Amino acid sequence: MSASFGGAADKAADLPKPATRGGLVVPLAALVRGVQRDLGRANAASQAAAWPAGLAAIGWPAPSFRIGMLELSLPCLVRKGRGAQSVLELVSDAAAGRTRRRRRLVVSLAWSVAGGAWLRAVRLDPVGTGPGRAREEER
Amino acid sequence: MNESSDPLLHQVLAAPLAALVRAEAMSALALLDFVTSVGMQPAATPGAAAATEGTAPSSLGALRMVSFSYQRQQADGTLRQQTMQVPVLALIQLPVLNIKDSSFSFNLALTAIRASTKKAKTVAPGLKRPAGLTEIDLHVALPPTAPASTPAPPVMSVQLNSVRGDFPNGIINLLQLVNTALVVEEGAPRPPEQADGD
Repeated sequence: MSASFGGAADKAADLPKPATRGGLVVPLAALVRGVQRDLGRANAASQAAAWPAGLAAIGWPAPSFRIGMLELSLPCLVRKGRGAQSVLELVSDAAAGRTRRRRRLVVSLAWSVAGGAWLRAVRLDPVGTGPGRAREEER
Repeated sequence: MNESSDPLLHQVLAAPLAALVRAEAMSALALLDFVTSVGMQPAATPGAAAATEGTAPSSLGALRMVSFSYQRQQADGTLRQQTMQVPVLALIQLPVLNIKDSSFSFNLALTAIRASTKKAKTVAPGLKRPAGLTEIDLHVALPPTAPASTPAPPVMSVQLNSVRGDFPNGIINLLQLVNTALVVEEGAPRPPEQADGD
């Protein structure tokens, strides 16, 4: 799925433009790739965390921790496009209102030692258009 | 929208990992303090007691041994008094605590997005990044707890699971050494009838 979030999808999308509801406008593809890169950066930074020199001197190596799974979820409005070509406006729950364009973006990533951060799922779940959707959002 | 003093998303994601390493360092120093105070002879040098001050000791000193005696029958029927010395550390369970995995769940407010368009670049032999890709940096902050007059930023829920990348072997090496540091001393042989009267 990660292949669909590069190249053509990015070129078709625009750079962020002024938002209509005080949110942040961003192409979905660029957002996903940015989160993917941030996961890699966070894992790399953890390797440099401070470890007492005295412990290392007696043969106690620093532990390393890495993010194995990361899931982000946030409300948004679909400004234009579909699927990977979508351009989103990231807004607060209150500003999102209950329009048909309202979605909850879910980006789920996992870390593979061999291949770095890879996408498990990217979803634009409809929310706020009925009791069933509301329950889905809560879940 | 472009400039923000808020931290970047990857800095916030790395913070829990750094906290795990710090927590494990504190746990390791506490274990060393335990080993030093229980399993080692009283420090002859100031460095041996430094674990309580937040740094690892430069020298743990000599193993504290306990001894016990018993009689062992020899092949010729005589009994011989034997004394065994065992490191205290070999007799007790060490409180070794490691973080295997962790789970964090928190909310972050997206306060700004900084975007730039990258030029074409060769990232690896035979692999060229196409021009026009949008690179974005996400600035985040802890969401405000009280309503403000300005429009609220979008709040992102974050679920983060971390796993251990390796396992420390320093304490394993120490335990292997301790378990081989047994000392047996033999006394003079005693005739069987003398031993029966004991």
